[in-house]
This record gives sequence, C-alpha cells and structure tokens, in this order.
Amino acid sequence: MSQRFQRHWVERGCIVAAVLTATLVCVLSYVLDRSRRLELASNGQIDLLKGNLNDRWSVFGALSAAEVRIKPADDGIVEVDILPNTPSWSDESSGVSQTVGLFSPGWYEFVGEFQAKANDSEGIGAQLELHSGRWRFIAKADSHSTGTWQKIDVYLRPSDSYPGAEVSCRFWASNGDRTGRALFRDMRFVKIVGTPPPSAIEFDLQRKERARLGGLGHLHNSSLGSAGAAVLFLATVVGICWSML
Amino acid sequence: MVALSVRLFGDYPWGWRAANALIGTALVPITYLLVRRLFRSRLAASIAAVLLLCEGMFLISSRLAMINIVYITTGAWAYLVLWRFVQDPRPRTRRIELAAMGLLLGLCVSTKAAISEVAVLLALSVVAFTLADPMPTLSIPGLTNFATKRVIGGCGLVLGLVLLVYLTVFLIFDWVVWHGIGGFVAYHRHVIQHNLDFPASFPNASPFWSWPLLLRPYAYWSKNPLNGSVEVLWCGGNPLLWWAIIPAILIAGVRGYTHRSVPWIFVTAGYVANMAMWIPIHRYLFIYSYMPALYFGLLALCGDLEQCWIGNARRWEHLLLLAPLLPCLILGLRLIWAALAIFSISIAYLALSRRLEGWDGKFVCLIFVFATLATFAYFLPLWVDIPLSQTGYMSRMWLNGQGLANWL
Repeated sequence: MSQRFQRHWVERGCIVAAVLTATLVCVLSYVLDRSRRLELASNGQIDLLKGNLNDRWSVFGALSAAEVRIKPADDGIVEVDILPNTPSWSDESSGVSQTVGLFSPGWYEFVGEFQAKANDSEGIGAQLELHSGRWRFIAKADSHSTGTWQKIDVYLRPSDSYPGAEVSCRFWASNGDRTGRALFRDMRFVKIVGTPPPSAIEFDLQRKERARLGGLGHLHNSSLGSAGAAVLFLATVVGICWSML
Repeated sequence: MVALSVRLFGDYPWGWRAANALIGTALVPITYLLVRRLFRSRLAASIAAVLLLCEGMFLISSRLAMINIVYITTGAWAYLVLWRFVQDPRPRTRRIELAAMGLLLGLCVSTKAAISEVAVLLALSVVAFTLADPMPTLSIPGLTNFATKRVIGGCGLVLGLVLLVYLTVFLIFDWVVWHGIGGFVAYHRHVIQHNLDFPASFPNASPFWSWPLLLRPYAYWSKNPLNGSVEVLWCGGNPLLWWAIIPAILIAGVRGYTHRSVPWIFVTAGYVANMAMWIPIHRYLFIYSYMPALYFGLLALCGDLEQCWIGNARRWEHLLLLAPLLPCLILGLRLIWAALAIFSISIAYLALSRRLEGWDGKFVCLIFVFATLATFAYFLPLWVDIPLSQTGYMSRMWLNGQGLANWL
C-alpha cells in the first residue's frame, strides 16, 4: 500500500513538474519573442537610429561590446566609436550591425546618410553594407572627402526565403591600435506602395530568387505517368500484403 | 505543415514556427504513452515526460522551423503504434495498427530520408519478430517459424505504405520538377553523390562518436548587442541527460540480455542502430543528428530510473546513474561547492542504503530528476534566447578548449 502511495506521489510530482516546465517554456518564449518582434511603425517605416541603440545594434567579428560606443549626438546623428586600447579589433572583419525583419511583402526603400573616418595612407577605413540573404550593397567611406555625408538611397524587394535585411558598418585598419569612427544620420527602411520610381537604384531579390528556382511554366511538358504507375504498383503490393495478414 | 501554419497565422516568424512548436509539444504526450506501453509503468512514463521537457535539443528543435523535430515526433508516434501492435492480441486491429505505423513511418522518411531508414528497419524487425512468434520472447523455437506468410504480409504492408507515402508526398515534385519516376531516381542518385562529395570537416561539425559526450554543440544563432549582453540559440542538450544516457544504455543492454526483455532490447537496439548508421558516413556531420539516438537514450534512462524507484536496480546501476552528476557539479559549481555537494550526496546515499531498505534507489531517482530540472533551468537561457551577461554566458560554456571539446 505504502509502495503504491509513493509511486502515485512521484507520478503526480513528475506530471506537475512537466506541466510547470512546459508553462515556463511557453511563457518565456512568448514574452521573449514579443519583445524582439520588430513591427513597422504606423507610418510604414523602421527607423534604425531610434530607441535603445545599445539593445538594437550588435557587434560582430573580433570586437566586443566594451570596445564600441554608440551614442546619439546632435541633430539626429548617431556616432559609433571604436575605442582605443583594442589591438584585436582589426585582426578580422569587425563592426556593428542591426538586423530588421521586412515581413510585409513588397518594396522597401533604404535611406541613410553615413560618414566615417578614413585615411588610405594610414590604412583605416569603414564601409556601410546592406545585406539581404546572399545579396549585399556596399558603400565605402571616401577617404578624399572626410567630413562630408554620403547619402544612400536604394530600393529592394526581399526574397521569399529571406524577408529581412542587415545593415552593418564594417571597420578596418592596417594596425590594430587604430580607432574607428562612423556617423549615421536619418537611417531607415520605408515600406513603399507600388514600385520604385524609374530612376531609382532598385534590387528585386524576390524576382531573382523566383527566376533561379524556376516557375511552373513547364508544367504542360510534365508527365505523371511513370510516377502514377509506381503509386499504383505500391498500392497493389499494400493490398496483397493486407490480405495476407 | 509549415505552409498550412503560414496560411493560418501569416507569413511571419511566428507562423513559420507554429507547426514545429505544435509537433514538438505533441512529442511529450506521445512519449508518455510510448513509455507507458513499453515499460508498463505510469511512473516511468511520467519521468520520461519530465526528462524530455528538460532536454534542450528537443526544445530548441521545437522552437525553430527546421525539420528535425518532425521526423523525431512521427518516428516516436510510429513506435507508439508499433508497441500497441505488439501488445494487441486481436488480428483485425493489428492490421490497422500496421497500416497506421506504415503511414507514420512514411511521413518520418519523407521528412528526413537519410536518417529515418533506421526507424523503418527497427520497426520491421519488431514486426517480423512479433508475427513470427505470437508470444514475443527470445526463445529459439520462435525463430524457426520466421519466414511465414504473416511476416511477409506484415513487413510488406509496412514497407509498401512507407514507399507509397514517400512517393505521394513528393508527387508534386514528380509533376513539376522530376517529370516522372526517372527524374525521381536521378534526383536521389544526385543527392547521394552530392553527399558523398562533401568534405569530412566543416566549422562546428563533429564526429558521431563525440555526440554522446556533448563535445561540440554550437550556436545556431548568436548576437552580441552593444549593451554587453549575449543572446544565443544553442544547438546543445542538457549535459546531465546526455552524459547519463551512456550508462543508461549500458544498463538497458544488460537488462535486455539478462531478462530476455524485448522492451529493453528495443531501446538498446534503437540507440545502437542510430549511432552505428554513422560509421560508414565520412561527410561532415552536426550534433543534432544525434537526436534519434538521444531519444532512445532518454527512453532507457527513464526505464532505469523507474527501476531504481521500485527497488529493482542494483548498487552498480545506482552508481552508474549518479556518476554523470560528478562532472556536472564540478563544471557547474565552484570546486568547493562541488566537493560539498558530492560529499552530501554520497553520505545521504550511504545512510539510506544502510538504514532504509529500498530508499537508496528512490534517492537516486529523486536526486537525478531534481538535478535534471536544475540543469535545465540553468541552461534554459541558451535555448530560448534569454539575454545573458558575458560572465553568465561563459560560465555556462563548460567546455571551451581549442580542439573538439568546445561549446562556444
């Protein structure tokens, strides 16, 4: 009797533990996913330089968060500084990035202004990159016109398989002890209605992907005869085996 | 199913992942029912449900839109029907059970053909064995009637349905891409050749023998925000469970051999077969391919723990099951706390084994389940992407050497 009572007690305990664990996982999943979901604002745009920049921007490559400072300056400018005493950051491709989901199908305009400390003779520089799947658009900081803003304005329609984009700023230097600096201004994705204007720089990643995968245009040449025969044969085998049991 | 989920919930990450979340959740009650049939014990089934929920590899696979949890769940469901078939004496319902199992195994193979063949072979072996011998035992006379009409019929029904489902699932490809059965065969030859051409090494890849030791888990995705935290989705499991599965399978094998017990032989054979299939494969592999073997390992582990609870386990089995706690305590706690915990557990175990008969096994079972829950809570941030401090993240990366043993 006592043995049965103990077993019953442990069974109940295990079931309670299972239910609690499942609840914990579900609640955490929901709360965490909700906090990370990036929604389009009511005006149909995602501003990359608003909100808590330290939460939204990440480091990649050899940089650690302690080696980078991102802070809003005047006039909506955001300043990214690679701090000194970081001899490791230039050893591999390093920088800061932000990923956004572009889940609403259609065209997006990416606009932004960028300037970076660049000097060819010192071997330092930076470039702004826009990635979406395998595609990338690169704007390299001009070392001859330091201090002037480079405006980027491109249109892209994300592919079906990668409905998102990553904006990154990559820094480099010939010596590890150099610092890096970049300024961003007015950087955002805007969902547009219809197609981009005729003179705009545009990248239709959806069309490219669909062309690569092939469409249904050659359906009329297809034949289901042999596959149908195979299905029929297997169905007969199944029927015979069923009757043997 | 993902397409259906996207249709229902929208073309958003939540919609992509909802189907797998449901399928992964279904694995818990399926496992409960399977273990209840397998070991005829609700206690073992309850323990299995807890262990499965606390295993991070299954959790993360249920949270991502990847195929692994689908073939594991359909495979487990097929095993559940298989054991219903084994324990069902009525010939009429048995036929339906075989058909249902064939359909489920067909879905399993359609999801991941390269691994699921082991599930089919295992199921066919049990079907053949059961039909050849109405009372499933390992007696030699039972084996003499092996090639009977019923065996051929049963195995043919299952195999035929597996192939039929596989062909039907890919019928749209036959139609659009392959242009009939010739294209179907050519595609599969191409896939096999493509896999043979893969190199042996790749970043984050690991040899199959290293999987039970959890030497090379890796991050599916990671992010280092400028706020100094670390966010990661870790393709790794609960180390206590992974390391305990090695002795659990050993114990299951010994039990199967000494007691001539088909359920114990089944879980051992399932584990061994799912590991052995990798021996001839020389392309690079990733640790998530251990999941089918891991599943059998968990079945063995819950059976072993239930035997501990009811007092059927011997001293060496207790010690083997407690042994994986040692590395977890040493790597997870500071040395002084680990030593204290090990000392306390040893004293408690010795005291119980001398003073209270049968309580030593219960202690092993309870301490193991408790430690599993604690380890799960500790590693949970790595599976559900809870931001961690750099220190918190590094303290969870128990192995971070230069070679294969690296969790980073």
